[in-house]
Amino acid sequence: MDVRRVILTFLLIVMAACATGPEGVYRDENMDFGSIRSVAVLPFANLSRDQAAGERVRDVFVTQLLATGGLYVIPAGETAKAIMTAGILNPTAPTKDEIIKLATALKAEAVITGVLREYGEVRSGTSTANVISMSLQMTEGQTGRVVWSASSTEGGIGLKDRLLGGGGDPMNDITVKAVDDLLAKLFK
Amino acid sequence: MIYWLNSLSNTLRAVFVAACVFFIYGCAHTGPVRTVGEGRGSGMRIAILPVENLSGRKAPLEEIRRSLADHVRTLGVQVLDEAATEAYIVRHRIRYTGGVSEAEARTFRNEEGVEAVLIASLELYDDESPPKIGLIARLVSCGDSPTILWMDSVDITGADSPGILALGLIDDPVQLRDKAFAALAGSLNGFFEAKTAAPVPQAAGNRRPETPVTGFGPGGSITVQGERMRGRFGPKIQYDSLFIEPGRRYSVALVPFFNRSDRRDAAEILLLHLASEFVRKPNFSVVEPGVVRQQLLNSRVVMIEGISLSDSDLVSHLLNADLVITGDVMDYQESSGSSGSPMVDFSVMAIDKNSKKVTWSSKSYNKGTDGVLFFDIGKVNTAGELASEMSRKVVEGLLSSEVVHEGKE
Repeated sequence: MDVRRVILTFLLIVMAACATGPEGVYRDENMDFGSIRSVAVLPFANLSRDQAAGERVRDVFVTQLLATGGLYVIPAGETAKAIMTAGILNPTAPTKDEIIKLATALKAEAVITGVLREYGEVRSGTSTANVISMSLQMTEGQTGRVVWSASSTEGGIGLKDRLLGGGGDPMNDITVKAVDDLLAKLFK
Repeated sequence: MIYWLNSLSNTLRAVFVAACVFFIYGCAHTGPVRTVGEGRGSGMRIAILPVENLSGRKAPLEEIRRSLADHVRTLGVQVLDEAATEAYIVRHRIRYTGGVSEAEARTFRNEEGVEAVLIASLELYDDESPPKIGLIARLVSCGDSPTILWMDSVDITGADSPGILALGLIDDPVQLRDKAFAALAGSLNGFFEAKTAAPVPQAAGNRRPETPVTGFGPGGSITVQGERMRGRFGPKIQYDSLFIEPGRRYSVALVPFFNRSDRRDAAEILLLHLASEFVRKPNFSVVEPGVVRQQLLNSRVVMIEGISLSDSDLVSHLLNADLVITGDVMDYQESSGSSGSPMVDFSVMAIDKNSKKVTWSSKSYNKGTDGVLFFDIGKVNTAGELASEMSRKVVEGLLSSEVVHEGKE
Protein backbone atom coordinates (compact mmCIF):
# COMPACT_ATOMS: atom_id res chain seq x y z
CA MET A 1 0.00 0.00 0.00
CA ASP A 2 1.26 3.49 -0.76
CA VAL A 3 2.55 4.89 2.54
CA ARG A 4 1.99 8.46 1.42
CA ARG A 5 -1.67 7.80 0.75
CA VAL A 6 -2.10 6.32 4.24
CA ILE A 7 -0.43 9.31 5.86
CA LEU A 8 -2.50 11.76 3.79
CA THR A 9 -5.76 10.00 4.71
CA PHE A 10 -4.77 10.00 8.35
CA LEU A 11 -3.95 13.74 8.25
CA LEU A 12 -7.29 14.51 6.60
CA ILE A 13 -9.16 12.64 9.36
CA VAL A 14 -7.19 14.47 12.08
CA MET A 15 -7.83 17.87 10.48
CA ALA A 16 -11.55 17.13 10.22
CA ALA A 17 -11.65 16.28 13.91
CA CYS A 18 -9.81 19.49 14.83
CA ALA A 19 -12.22 21.57 12.78
CA THR A 20 -15.00 21.24 15.41
CA GLY A 21 -15.72 24.15 17.83
CA PRO A 22 -15.24 24.14 21.63
CA GLU A 23 -17.02 21.25 23.29
CA GLY A 24 -20.38 21.85 24.88
CA VAL A 25 -20.91 25.38 23.52
CA TYR A 26 -23.69 26.56 21.23
CA ARG A 27 -23.77 30.12 19.99
CA ASP A 28 -26.37 31.50 17.58
CA GLU A 29 -24.33 33.23 14.89
CA ASN A 30 -27.29 35.39 13.84
CA MET A 31 -27.76 36.86 17.29
CA ASP A 32 -26.51 40.34 18.06
CA PHE A 33 -25.18 39.77 21.56
CA GLY A 34 -24.18 43.40 21.84
CA SER A 35 -27.86 44.34 22.11
CA ILE A 36 -28.19 42.43 25.38
CA ARG A 37 -27.73 44.82 28.28
CA SER A 38 -29.66 43.24 31.11
CA VAL A 39 -30.52 39.65 31.91
CA ALA A 40 -32.61 37.80 34.45
CA VAL A 41 -31.17 34.64 35.99
CA LEU A 42 -33.84 32.12 36.93
CA PRO A 43 -33.43 29.50 39.67
CA PHE A 44 -31.31 26.57 38.48
CA ALA A 45 -32.67 23.05 38.23
CA ASN A 46 -30.87 21.04 40.89
CA LEU A 47 -30.14 17.41 40.08
CA SER A 48 -27.50 17.01 42.79
CA ARG A 49 -27.85 15.61 46.30
CA ASP A 50 -27.35 18.95 48.05
CA GLN A 51 -30.71 20.68 48.27
CA ALA A 52 -29.23 24.16 48.58
CA ALA A 53 -26.72 23.67 45.76
CA GLY A 54 -28.86 25.36 43.12
CA GLU A 55 -29.10 28.60 45.09
CA ARG A 56 -25.41 28.53 46.05
CA VAL A 57 -24.28 28.24 42.46
CA ARG A 58 -26.82 30.79 41.27
CA ASP A 59 -25.54 33.25 43.88
CA VAL A 60 -21.94 32.84 42.67
CA PHE A 61 -22.99 33.06 39.02
CA VAL A 62 -25.06 36.24 39.47
CA THR A 63 -22.29 38.03 41.39
CA GLN A 64 -19.63 36.97 38.94
CA LEU A 65 -21.72 37.93 35.91
CA LEU A 66 -22.33 41.35 37.44
CA ALA A 67 -18.64 41.65 38.28
CA THR A 68 -17.66 41.27 34.62
CA GLY A 69 -19.38 44.59 33.99
CA GLY A 70 -20.64 43.27 30.67
CA LEU A 71 -24.25 42.70 31.65
CA TYR A 72 -26.60 44.03 34.30
CA VAL A 73 -28.30 41.24 36.26
CA ILE A 74 -31.79 41.85 37.60
CA PRO A 75 -31.79 41.25 41.40
CA ALA A 76 -33.07 37.85 42.55
CA GLY A 77 -35.90 39.39 44.59
CA GLU A 78 -37.22 41.26 41.56
CA THR A 79 -36.98 38.11 39.42
CA ALA A 80 -38.81 36.06 42.05
CA LYS A 81 -41.59 38.65 42.24
CA ALA A 82 -41.96 38.65 38.44
CA ILE A 83 -42.06 34.82 38.39
CA MET A 84 -44.89 34.86 40.91
CA THR A 85 -46.78 37.61 39.08
CA ALA A 86 -46.41 35.81 35.74
CA GLY A 87 -47.74 32.62 37.30
CA ILE A 88 -44.78 30.47 36.20
CA LEU A 89 -45.19 27.11 37.91
CA ASN A 90 -41.75 25.69 37.17
CA PRO A 91 -39.23 28.54 36.97
CA THR A 92 -36.32 26.12 36.43
CA ALA A 93 -37.78 25.02 33.08
CA PRO A 94 -40.02 27.79 31.72
CA THR A 95 -41.80 27.56 28.37
CA LYS A 96 -41.06 29.90 25.47
CA ASP A 97 -44.17 32.00 26.19
CA GLU A 98 -43.33 32.22 29.88
CA ILE A 99 -39.84 33.46 29.08
CA ILE A 100 -41.19 36.16 26.75
CA LYS A 101 -43.71 37.23 29.42
CA LEU A 102 -41.00 37.32 32.10
CA ALA A 103 -38.50 39.23 30.01
CA THR A 104 -41.14 41.84 29.15
CA ALA A 105 -42.10 42.24 32.82
CA LEU A 106 -38.49 42.61 33.93
CA LYS A 107 -37.43 44.67 30.89
CA ALA A 108 -34.62 42.17 30.34
CA GLU A 109 -33.25 41.38 26.88
CA ALA A 110 -32.47 37.79 27.81
CA VAL A 111 -33.18 35.15 30.40
CA ILE A 112 -30.62 32.64 31.69
CA THR A 113 -31.66 29.20 32.93
CA GLY A 114 -29.44 26.42 34.15
CA VAL A 115 -29.15 22.85 35.30
CA LEU A 116 -26.85 21.72 38.07
CA ARG A 117 -26.01 18.11 37.32
CA GLU A 118 -23.43 17.39 39.98
CA TYR A 119 -22.44 19.25 43.16
CA GLY A 120 -20.58 17.81 46.10
CA GLU A 121 -18.19 15.09 47.03
CA VAL A 122 -17.31 12.23 44.68
CA ARG A 123 -15.54 9.06 45.79
CA SER A 124 -13.40 6.59 43.99
CA GLY A 125 -11.90 3.92 46.19
CA THR A 126 -10.25 5.73 49.07
CA SER A 127 -9.94 9.05 47.21
CA THR A 128 -12.48 11.84 47.52
CA ALA A 129 -12.79 15.23 45.91
CA ASN A 130 -15.38 17.90 45.20
CA VAL A 131 -16.95 18.15 41.78
CA ILE A 132 -19.37 20.47 40.02
CA SER A 133 -21.03 19.95 36.67
CA MET A 134 -23.51 22.43 35.27
CA SER A 135 -24.95 23.78 32.06
CA LEU A 136 -26.51 27.15 31.24
CA GLN A 137 -28.78 28.44 28.52
CA MET A 138 -29.46 31.98 27.43
CA THR A 139 -32.86 32.60 25.82
CA GLU A 140 -33.59 35.79 23.95
CA GLY A 141 -36.45 37.70 25.57
CA GLN A 142 -38.38 38.85 22.48
CA THR A 143 -38.53 35.61 20.49
CA GLY A 144 -37.98 32.95 23.14
CA ARG A 145 -35.17 31.46 21.06
CA VAL A 146 -32.13 29.82 22.68
CA VAL A 147 -29.14 31.87 21.57
CA TRP A 148 -26.36 30.43 23.71
CA SER A 149 -25.74 27.26 25.64
CA ALA A 150 -22.67 25.90 27.40
CA SER A 151 -21.65 23.42 30.04
CA SER A 152 -18.74 23.09 32.41
CA THR A 153 -17.35 20.50 34.79
CA GLU A 154 -14.67 21.26 37.38
CA GLY A 155 -13.07 19.38 40.21
CA GLY A 156 -13.19 15.64 40.47
CA ILE A 157 -10.50 13.19 41.48
CA GLY A 158 -7.23 13.86 39.70
CA LEU A 159 -3.87 12.13 39.83
CA LYS A 160 -2.75 14.32 42.72
CA ASP A 161 -5.80 13.39 44.78
CA ARG A 162 -5.28 9.67 44.13
CA LEU A 163 -1.62 9.77 45.06
CA LEU A 164 -1.61 12.30 47.90
CA GLY A 165 -5.23 12.46 49.05
CA GLY A 166 -6.36 15.79 50.50
CA GLY A 167 -10.00 15.85 49.46
CA GLY A 168 -9.57 18.14 46.46
CA ASP A 169 -10.23 21.86 46.18
CA PRO A 170 -12.92 23.49 48.35
CA MET A 171 -16.42 23.51 46.86
CA ASN A 172 -16.66 27.28 46.55
CA ASP A 173 -13.36 27.50 44.68
CA ILE A 174 -14.33 24.96 42.06
CA THR A 175 -17.74 26.60 41.73
CA VAL A 176 -15.99 29.88 40.94
CA LYS A 177 -13.77 28.07 38.40
CA ALA A 178 -16.77 26.47 36.69
CA VAL A 179 -18.62 29.79 36.52
CA ASP A 180 -15.47 31.49 35.21
CA ASP A 181 -15.25 28.86 32.49
CA LEU A 182 -18.89 29.42 31.52
CA LEU A 183 -18.47 33.19 31.45
CA ALA A 184 -15.40 32.80 29.28
CA LYS A 185 -17.54 30.76 26.87
CA LEU A 186 -20.26 33.40 26.99
CA PHE A 187 -18.08 36.39 26.28
CA LYS A 188 -15.79 34.81 23.69
CA MET B 1 24.51 35.38 74.30
CA ILE B 2 25.63 33.29 71.33
CA TYR B 3 28.76 32.23 73.30
CA TRP B 4 26.50 31.30 76.21
CA LEU B 5 24.25 29.24 73.91
CA ASN B 6 27.24 27.49 72.39
CA SER B 7 28.43 26.54 75.86
CA LEU B 8 25.21 24.59 76.54
CA SER B 9 24.79 20.96 75.60
CA ASN B 10 22.66 20.16 72.54
CA THR B 11 19.73 19.04 74.69
CA LEU B 12 19.69 22.17 76.82
CA ARG B 13 20.01 24.36 73.74
CA ALA B 14 17.01 22.61 72.12
CA VAL B 15 14.93 23.04 75.31
CA PHE B 16 15.84 26.75 75.49
CA VAL B 17 14.89 27.35 71.85
CA ALA B 18 11.59 25.43 72.26
CA ALA B 19 10.76 27.47 75.37
CA CYS B 20 11.40 30.69 73.44
CA VAL B 21 9.13 29.53 70.60
CA PHE B 22 6.29 28.61 72.98
CA PHE B 23 6.69 31.92 74.80
CA ILE B 24 6.49 33.86 71.55
CA TYR B 25 3.46 31.82 70.47
CA GLY B 26 1.73 32.51 73.74
CA CYS B 27 2.41 36.23 73.42
CA ALA B 28 1.24 36.21 69.80
CA HIS B 29 -2.27 35.23 70.85
CA THR B 30 -2.64 37.91 73.46
CA GLY B 31 -5.59 40.00 72.44
CA PRO B 32 -5.66 43.79 72.70
CA VAL B 33 -5.70 45.04 76.25
CA ARG B 34 -8.63 47.28 76.80
CA THR B 35 -8.83 49.50 79.81
CA VAL B 36 -11.98 51.18 80.94
CA GLY B 37 -11.57 54.90 81.29
CA GLU B 38 -12.66 56.93 84.22
CA GLY B 39 -16.38 56.93 83.42
CA ARG B 40 -16.85 59.46 80.66
CA GLY B 41 -20.57 58.76 80.37
CA SER B 42 -21.24 62.25 81.78
CA GLY B 43 -24.35 61.06 83.58
CA MET B 44 -26.09 60.05 80.36
CA ARG B 45 -29.36 58.30 81.17
CA ILE B 46 -29.94 55.11 79.22
CA ALA B 47 -32.16 52.04 79.31
CA ILE B 48 -30.93 48.53 78.59
CA LEU B 49 -33.40 46.31 76.78
CA PRO B 50 -33.59 42.58 77.55
CA VAL B 51 -30.88 40.73 75.64
CA GLU B 52 -32.02 39.31 72.30
CA ASN B 53 -30.96 35.65 72.07
CA LEU B 54 -29.63 34.78 68.62
CA SER B 55 -27.32 32.02 69.84
CA GLY B 56 -29.79 29.24 69.18
CA ARG B 57 -29.29 27.78 72.66
CA LYS B 58 -30.34 28.50 76.20
CA ALA B 59 -28.39 31.24 77.92
CA PRO B 60 -28.68 33.08 81.26
CA LEU B 61 -30.05 36.24 79.62
CA GLU B 62 -31.02 38.03 82.83
CA GLU B 63 -27.59 37.46 84.32
CA ILE B 64 -25.95 38.68 81.13
CA ARG B 65 -28.11 41.80 81.10
CA ARG B 66 -27.30 42.55 84.74
CA SER B 67 -23.59 42.04 84.16
CA LEU B 68 -23.70 44.34 81.13
CA ALA B 69 -25.55 46.98 83.13
CA ASP B 70 -22.91 46.79 85.90
CA HIS B 71 -20.10 47.31 83.42
CA VAL B 72 -21.90 50.21 81.74
CA ARG B 73 -22.53 51.91 85.13
CA THR B 74 -18.76 52.06 85.73
CA LEU B 75 -18.58 54.53 82.82
CA GLY B 76 -20.59 57.10 84.75
CA VAL B 77 -23.80 56.29 82.85
CA GLN B 78 -27.16 56.29 84.61
CA VAL B 79 -28.96 53.05 83.79
CA LEU B 80 -32.74 52.92 84.14
CA ASP B 81 -33.46 50.23 86.67
CA GLU B 82 -34.68 46.85 85.52
CA ALA B 83 -38.13 47.14 87.09
CA ALA B 84 -38.88 50.44 85.33
CA THR B 85 -37.68 49.01 82.00
CA GLU B 86 -39.82 45.89 82.44
CA ALA B 87 -42.83 48.03 83.36
CA TYR B 88 -42.34 50.11 80.20
CA ILE B 89 -42.09 46.95 78.06
CA VAL B 90 -45.28 45.49 79.57
CA ARG B 91 -47.14 48.81 79.29
CA HIS B 92 -46.34 49.14 75.59
CA ARG B 93 -46.56 45.38 74.85
CA ILE B 94 -43.09 45.26 73.32
CA ARG B 95 -42.18 41.74 72.19
CA TYR B 96 -39.20 42.45 69.95
CA THR B 97 -36.14 43.58 71.90
CA GLY B 98 -33.62 43.44 69.04
CA GLY B 99 -34.28 47.04 68.05
CA VAL B 100 -36.41 50.14 68.67
CA SER B 101 -38.92 51.72 66.36
CA GLU B 102 -39.40 55.49 66.08
CA ALA B 103 -42.51 55.37 68.27
CA GLU B 104 -40.76 53.33 70.97
CA ALA B 105 -37.74 55.65 70.99
CA ARG B 106 -40.03 58.68 71.38
CA THR B 107 -42.06 57.20 74.23
CA PHE B 108 -38.90 56.01 75.99
CA ARG B 109 -37.67 59.59 76.02
CA ASN B 110 -41.01 61.15 76.96
CA GLU B 111 -42.07 58.68 79.65
CA GLU B 112 -38.80 57.51 81.18
CA GLY B 113 -36.55 60.46 80.36
CA VAL B 114 -33.87 58.26 78.78
CA GLU B 115 -31.55 59.72 76.17
CA ALA B 116 -30.54 56.42 74.59
CA VAL B 117 -31.29 52.71 74.60
CA LEU B 118 -28.62 50.01 74.77
CA ILE B 119 -29.61 47.01 72.65
CA ALA B 120 -27.66 43.78 73.04
CA SER B 121 -27.89 40.66 70.87
CA LEU B 122 -26.29 37.45 72.10
CA GLU B 123 -24.93 35.66 69.03
CA LEU B 124 -22.90 32.95 70.74
CA TYR B 125 -23.07 31.28 74.12
CA ASP B 126 -21.52 28.03 75.28
CA ASP B 127 -20.62 27.36 78.89
CA GLU B 128 -18.90 24.02 78.25
CA SER B 129 -15.13 24.10 78.41
CA PRO B 130 -13.68 26.12 76.79
CA PRO B 131 -16.57 28.59 77.18
CA LYS B 132 -17.57 30.93 74.34
CA ILE B 133 -19.48 34.18 74.25
CA GLY B 134 -20.39 36.58 71.47
CA LEU B 135 -22.37 39.79 71.89
CA ILE B 136 -23.25 42.63 69.52
CA ALA B 137 -24.30 45.83 71.27
CA ARG B 138 -25.42 49.23 70.07
CA LEU B 139 -26.49 52.50 71.63
CA VAL B 140 -29.46 54.10 69.89
CA SER B 141 -30.58 57.65 70.61
CA CYS B 142 -34.15 58.27 71.70
CA GLY B 143 -36.19 60.90 69.97
CA ASP B 144 -37.93 61.55 66.70
CA SER B 145 -35.18 60.00 64.55
CA PRO B 146 -33.39 57.23 66.42
CA THR B 147 -29.74 57.13 65.41
CA ILE B 148 -27.11 54.52 66.15
CA LEU B 149 -24.59 56.41 68.27
CA TRP B 150 -22.22 53.50 68.92
CA MET B 151 -22.00 49.87 67.91
CA ASP B 152 -19.49 47.14 68.57
CA SER B 153 -19.22 43.39 69.00
CA VAL B 154 -17.12 40.99 71.01
CA ASP B 155 -16.59 37.29 70.22
CA ILE B 156 -14.17 35.40 72.42
CA THR B 157 -13.54 31.90 73.66
CA GLY B 158 -11.69 30.67 76.70
CA ALA B 159 -9.07 29.14 74.42
CA ASP B 160 -8.22 32.32 72.48
CA SER B 161 -4.99 33.05 74.36
CA PRO B 162 -3.88 29.84 76.07
CA GLY B 163 -0.30 31.10 76.46
CA ILE B 164 2.58 29.00 77.68
CA LEU B 165 1.53 25.77 79.44
CA ALA B 166 -2.13 26.77 78.84
CA LEU B 167 -1.98 29.15 81.80
CA GLY B 168 -4.10 31.67 79.90
CA LEU B 169 -6.95 29.22 79.29
CA ILE B 170 -10.25 30.43 80.77
CA ASP B 171 -12.58 27.69 81.98
CA ASP B 172 -15.05 29.80 83.92
CA PRO B 173 -17.88 31.20 81.72
CA VAL B 174 -18.47 34.06 84.20
CA GLN B 175 -14.82 35.11 84.02
CA LEU B 176 -14.96 35.01 80.23
CA ARG B 177 -18.19 37.05 80.25
CA ASP B 178 -16.58 39.70 82.45
CA LYS B 179 -13.61 39.88 80.08
CA ALA B 180 -15.93 40.30 77.11
CA PHE B 181 -18.07 42.98 78.74
CA ALA B 182 -15.00 44.86 79.94
CA ALA B 183 -13.88 45.03 76.31
CA LEU B 184 -17.31 46.29 75.22
CA ALA B 185 -17.37 48.85 78.02
CA GLY B 186 -13.94 50.02 76.91
CA SER B 187 -15.21 50.51 73.40
CA LEU B 188 -18.29 52.41 74.67
CA ASN B 189 -16.04 54.56 76.83
CA GLY B 190 -14.01 55.36 73.73
CA PHE B 191 -17.21 56.59 72.12
CA PHE B 192 -18.01 58.83 75.10
CA GLU B 193 -14.52 60.26 75.02
CA ALA B 194 -14.76 61.03 71.33
CA LYS B 195 -18.38 62.22 71.49
CA THR B 196 -17.53 65.87 71.21
CA ALA B 197 -15.49 65.42 68.04
CA ALA B 198 -17.71 65.64 64.96
CA PRO B 199 -17.20 62.78 62.52
CA VAL B 200 -15.39 63.79 59.35
CA PRO B 201 -16.41 61.77 56.34
CA GLN B 202 -13.36 60.10 54.87
CA ALA B 203 -12.06 61.23 51.53
CA ALA B 204 -12.77 58.72 48.83
CA GLY B 205 -9.04 58.39 48.20
CA ASN B 206 -8.15 56.76 44.94
CA ARG B 207 -11.70 55.91 44.19
CA ARG B 208 -12.94 56.36 40.67
CA PRO B 209 -16.31 55.59 39.13
CA GLU B 210 -16.54 52.15 37.62
CA THR B 211 -16.31 52.08 33.83
CA PRO B 212 -18.36 49.12 32.70
CA VAL B 213 -16.54 46.95 30.19
CA THR B 214 -18.53 45.66 27.28
CA GLY B 215 -18.21 41.93 27.56
CA PHE B 216 -19.48 41.20 24.09
CA GLY B 217 -16.96 43.28 22.22
CA PRO B 218 -14.10 41.83 20.23
CA GLY B 219 -11.49 40.16 22.33
CA GLY B 220 -11.41 37.71 25.13
CA SER B 221 -12.99 37.02 28.46
CA ILE B 222 -12.96 39.23 31.47
CA THR B 223 -12.40 38.19 35.03
CA VAL B 224 -12.26 40.15 38.23
CA GLN B 225 -9.39 39.21 40.49
CA GLY B 226 -10.94 39.49 43.92
CA GLU B 227 -8.68 37.82 46.42
CA ARG B 228 -5.33 39.16 45.46
CA MET B 229 -6.45 42.75 46.02
CA ARG B 230 -8.61 42.54 49.10
CA GLY B 231 -6.58 40.40 51.48
CA ARG B 232 -7.34 37.45 53.68
CA PHE B 233 -11.01 38.14 54.48
CA GLY B 234 -11.88 40.25 51.50
CA PRO B 235 -14.69 39.43 49.05
CA LYS B 236 -13.72 36.83 46.47
CA ILE B 237 -15.95 38.41 43.82
CA GLN B 238 -16.94 42.04 43.71
CA TYR B 239 -18.99 44.24 41.39
CA ASP B 240 -18.71 47.94 41.96
CA SER B 241 -20.27 50.80 40.06
CA LEU B 242 -20.90 52.95 43.10
CA PHE B 243 -19.22 56.30 43.41
CA ILE B 244 -18.77 57.61 46.94
CA GLU B 245 -18.47 61.40 46.84
CA PRO B 246 -15.70 62.66 49.10
CA GLY B 247 -17.03 64.47 52.15
CA ARG B 248 -20.63 63.32 51.72
CA ARG B 249 -22.48 61.24 54.28
CA TYR B 250 -24.64 58.41 52.90
CA SER B 251 -27.66 57.08 54.71
CA VAL B 252 -27.74 53.27 54.67
CA ALA B 253 -30.74 51.04 55.39
CA LEU B 254 -29.96 47.36 56.00
CA VAL B 255 -32.86 45.16 54.96
CA PRO B 256 -33.14 41.61 56.38
CA PHE B 257 -30.85 39.15 54.64
CA PHE B 258 -32.07 35.85 53.24
CA ASN B 259 -30.88 32.90 55.34
CA ARG B 260 -30.02 29.79 53.33
CA SER B 261 -27.71 28.32 55.98
CA ASP B 262 -28.49 25.71 58.60
CA ARG B 263 -27.90 28.17 61.43
CA ARG B 264 -31.00 29.85 62.72
CA ASP B 265 -30.78 33.66 62.94
CA ALA B 266 -27.61 33.73 60.81
CA ALA B 267 -29.12 36.48 58.65
CA GLU B 268 -29.84 38.69 61.69
CA ILE B 269 -26.33 38.16 63.07
CA LEU B 270 -24.66 39.00 59.78
CA LEU B 271 -26.82 42.09 59.34
CA LEU B 272 -25.71 43.33 62.76
CA HIS B 273 -22.03 42.75 61.95
CA LEU B 274 -22.36 44.68 58.72
CA ALA B 275 -24.25 47.47 60.50
CA SER B 276 -21.45 47.63 63.06
CA GLU B 277 -18.87 48.16 60.34
CA PHE B 278 -20.95 50.81 58.56
CA VAL B 279 -21.42 52.69 61.85
CA ARG B 280 -17.63 52.89 62.28
CA LYS B 281 -17.23 54.80 59.03
CA PRO B 282 -18.04 58.53 59.16
CA ASN B 283 -19.14 58.35 55.49
CA PHE B 284 -22.20 56.33 56.47
CA SER B 285 -25.14 56.89 58.74
CA VAL B 286 -27.03 53.67 59.46
CA VAL B 287 -30.79 53.65 59.89
CA GLU B 288 -31.59 51.79 63.12
CA PRO B 289 -32.58 48.19 62.16
CA GLY B 290 -35.61 48.40 64.47
CA VAL B 291 -36.91 51.37 62.45
CA VAL B 292 -36.34 49.47 59.18
CA ARG B 293 -38.17 46.45 60.59
CA GLN B 294 -41.16 48.51 61.68
CA GLN B 295 -41.31 50.27 58.30
CA LEU B 296 -41.30 46.92 56.46
CA LEU B 297 -44.08 45.63 58.70
CA ASN B 298 -46.15 48.81 58.28
CA SER B 299 -45.73 48.64 54.49
CA ARG B 300 -46.64 44.92 54.42
CA VAL B 301 -43.48 44.16 52.47
CA VAL B 302 -43.13 40.43 51.74
CA MET B 303 -39.75 39.36 50.42
CA ILE B 304 -39.50 36.31 48.19
CA GLU B 305 -35.82 35.38 47.76
CA GLY B 306 -34.84 38.96 48.47
CA ILE B 307 -36.13 42.50 48.15
CA SER B 308 -37.71 43.61 44.88
CA LEU B 309 -36.81 46.93 43.23
CA SER B 310 -40.20 48.44 44.00
CA ASP B 311 -39.94 47.51 47.68
CA SER B 312 -36.38 48.81 47.79
CA ASP B 313 -37.61 52.08 46.28
CA LEU B 314 -40.37 52.29 48.89
CA VAL B 315 -37.96 51.60 51.77
CA SER B 316 -35.39 54.11 50.56
CA HIS B 317 -38.01 56.85 50.20
CA LEU B 318 -39.75 56.18 53.50
CA LEU B 319 -36.46 56.05 55.40
CA ASN B 320 -34.66 58.61 53.25
CA ALA B 321 -31.87 56.08 52.65
CA ASP B 322 -29.37 56.57 49.83
CA LEU B 323 -28.44 52.89 49.79
CA VAL B 324 -30.47 49.79 50.58
CA ILE B 325 -28.21 46.92 51.59
CA THR B 326 -29.37 43.31 51.48
CA GLY B 327 -27.97 39.88 50.69
CA ASP B 328 -27.92 36.16 51.30
CA VAL B 329 -26.23 34.03 53.94
CA MET B 330 -25.20 30.65 52.54
CA ASP B 331 -23.18 29.29 55.44
CA TYR B 332 -22.68 30.28 59.06
CA GLN B 333 -21.04 27.57 61.11
CA GLU B 334 -19.21 27.68 64.42
CA SER B 335 -16.16 25.53 64.87
CA SER B 336 -16.89 22.05 66.14
CA GLY B 337 -14.54 20.41 68.60
CA SER B 338 -11.14 21.71 69.62
CA SER B 339 -9.55 21.61 66.19
CA GLY B 340 -12.50 22.73 64.05
CA SER B 341 -12.76 25.98 62.17
CA PRO B 342 -15.74 28.34 61.74
CA MET B 343 -17.06 28.99 58.23
CA VAL B 344 -19.02 31.96 56.88
CA ASP B 345 -20.31 32.44 53.34
CA PHE B 346 -22.46 35.40 52.31
CA SER B 347 -23.19 37.80 49.50
CA VAL B 348 -24.06 41.49 49.82
CA MET B 349 -25.84 43.79 47.42
CA ALA B 350 -26.44 47.55 47.48
CA ILE B 351 -29.30 49.19 45.60
CA ASP B 352 -28.96 52.87 44.87
CA LYS B 353 -31.95 55.13 45.59
CA ASN B 354 -31.52 57.35 42.54
CA SER B 355 -30.68 54.84 39.83
CA LYS B 356 -32.85 52.06 41.34
CA LYS B 357 -30.17 49.60 40.28
CA VAL B 358 -27.69 47.29 41.96
CA THR B 359 -24.55 49.38 42.22
CA TRP B 360 -22.53 47.05 44.45
CA SER B 361 -22.42 43.31 44.84
CA SER B 362 -19.91 41.06 46.51
CA LYS B 363 -19.46 37.40 47.44
CA SER B 364 -17.38 36.46 50.46
CA TYR B 365 -16.53 33.05 51.86
CA ASN B 366 -13.90 32.20 54.45
CA LYS B 367 -12.89 29.74 57.10
CA GLY B 368 -11.21 30.57 60.38
CA THR B 369 -8.04 28.81 59.28
CA ASP B 370 -7.61 30.77 56.04
CA GLY B 371 -4.12 32.20 55.81
CA VAL B 372 -2.94 30.34 58.92
CA LEU B 373 0.42 28.66 58.43
CA PHE B 374 2.14 27.95 61.74
CA PHE B 375 1.01 27.21 65.28
CA ASP B 376 -2.54 28.50 64.65
CA ILE B 377 -1.20 32.05 64.62
CA GLY B 378 -3.95 34.27 63.27
CA LYS B 379 -6.62 31.60 63.49
CA VAL B 380 -10.13 32.93 64.00
CA ASN B 381 -12.01 30.81 66.51
CA THR B 382 -15.60 32.01 66.23
CA ALA B 383 -17.98 32.58 63.34
CA GLY B 384 -18.86 35.98 64.81
CA GLU B 385 -15.29 37.23 64.71
CA LEU B 386 -14.91 35.83 61.20
CA ALA B 387 -18.14 37.54 60.06
CA SER B 388 -16.92 40.77 61.64
CA GLU B 389 -13.60 40.64 59.76
CA MET B 390 -15.31 39.80 56.48
CA SER B 391 -17.90 42.55 56.96
CA ARG B 392 -15.11 45.06 57.62
CA LYS B 393 -13.50 44.17 54.29
CA VAL B 394 -16.83 44.49 52.48
CA VAL B 395 -17.43 47.98 53.86
CA GLU B 396 -13.82 49.02 53.19
CA GLY B 397 -14.26 47.78 49.66
CA LEU B 398 -17.43 49.87 49.32
CA LEU B 399 -15.49 52.94 50.37
CA SER B 400 -12.43 52.50 48.21
CA SER B 401 -11.91 49.85 45.58
CA GLU B 402 -9.73 49.14 42.57
CA VAL B 403 -11.51 46.75 40.29
CA VAL B 404 -9.08 45.06 37.97
CA HIS B 405 -10.17 43.75 34.66
CA GLU B 406 -7.86 41.31 32.93
CA GLY B 407 -8.43 40.88 29.27
CA LYS B 408 -7.44 37.54 28.02
CA GLU B 409 -6.86 37.24 24.25
